[in-house]
Amino acid sequence: MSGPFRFAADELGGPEGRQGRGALDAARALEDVGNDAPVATGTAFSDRVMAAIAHEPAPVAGGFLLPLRRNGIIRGFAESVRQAWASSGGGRPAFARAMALAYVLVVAAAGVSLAGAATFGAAGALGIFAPRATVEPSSDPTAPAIAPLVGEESDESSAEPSEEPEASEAPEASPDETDAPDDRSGSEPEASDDHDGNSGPGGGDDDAGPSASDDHDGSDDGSGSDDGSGSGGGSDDGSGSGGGSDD
Amino acid sequence: MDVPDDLSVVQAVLAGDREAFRVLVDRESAAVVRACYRVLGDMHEAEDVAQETFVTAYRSLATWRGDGPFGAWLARIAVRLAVRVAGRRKAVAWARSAAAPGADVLAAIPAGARMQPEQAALRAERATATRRALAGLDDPYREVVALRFFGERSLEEIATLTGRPLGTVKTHLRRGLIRLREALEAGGVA
Repeated sequence: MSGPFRFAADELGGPEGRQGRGALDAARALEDVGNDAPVATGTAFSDRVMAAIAHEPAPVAGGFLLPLRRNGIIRGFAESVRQAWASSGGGRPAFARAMALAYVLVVAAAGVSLAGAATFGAAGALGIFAPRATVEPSSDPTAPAIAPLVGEESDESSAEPSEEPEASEAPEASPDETDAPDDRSGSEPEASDDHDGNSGPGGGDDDAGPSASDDHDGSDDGSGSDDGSGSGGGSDDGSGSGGGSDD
Repeated sequence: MDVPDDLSVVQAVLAGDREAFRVLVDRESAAVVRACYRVLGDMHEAEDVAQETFVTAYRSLATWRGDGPFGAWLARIAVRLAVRVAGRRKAVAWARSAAAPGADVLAAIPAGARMQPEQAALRAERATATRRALAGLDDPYREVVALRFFGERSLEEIATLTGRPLGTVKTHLRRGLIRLREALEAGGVA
């Protein structure tokens, strides 16, 4: 401490030139200001200060983590968070406040995460989030099975426009030769395979309407393009020349 | 009777003995109030800021490193808070001076100086201008000058407090005083 207050010129390294003298003048002005200050305070001031700090949380070395070290994680956790929250208020160094606030936020985030996980787990245990048994797809194929096929054939017919119209005409021309309709029902999957080789028998023509619908089923099972050509082959058989052209 | 040193008192407070802080208050309150008064020029304000200084020190007691006098640490807090208050009220003080010229100057005249009112008035006016000029300095010059002249701290203590080399502190003091002189000249006081 520098004592009752006299500034030594050598603290400036000695007055040098005009600036040095100016600095010394300023120092003398500051000394004059300082000499009017009161010398002592009474006990009332100490009481006032002690009353002011009575409501302050006790300062502790180690900060808000000290309760964790003293009392353990379980017992000291609440006290630690409480001290950190109190330390995050004003009147403390910015770094200490930032650390305390970060600690509180991390604890809060961890608490929210744990609560969310526990809620989710409990809901899962109660079956709230269990997936439903989806049997519905079994009923769907019956109804829409035909419609998409029509669409597919129409798409394919756009690629082979000359054959499709003949297939629709074939059932009308074939009723005269209805020799083996039952065979067709059993050999439908083979008919689709035999379009190339068995196009000659012309059984498809005999089946008339039903055989045409069966061909569509066949297209569902396998490649749509083969079935389309198969039905076309049948109609060609009916007309006699179609099979040859297919082959 | 042994006088407990600063470090043992602080350790007692940190250990939970809140009443031990009174020892530090009794020991340092005069210097703290004096420093605040030198910056502010008003006794009531000085006591308010001095109280805030002790409360701030109490909150931050665990951060005191003990590598210098406790009073120097308190003086730094006090000067910083007082300069902040002086900066806040600067506009108000100017407005009051304009409304009643010389009123605050006369109020600031010490009782013992009233035998020579003209001289005392000039002295008070000069003191007010000096305080304003100091509050208008930039950091770190303001801090070094205020700690040296208002906080009554040696240059070595200031170097320890601020963590700057002694040569740097001397440079800041010299430049701060030169700027203060320039500000006083610009205000027509010097």
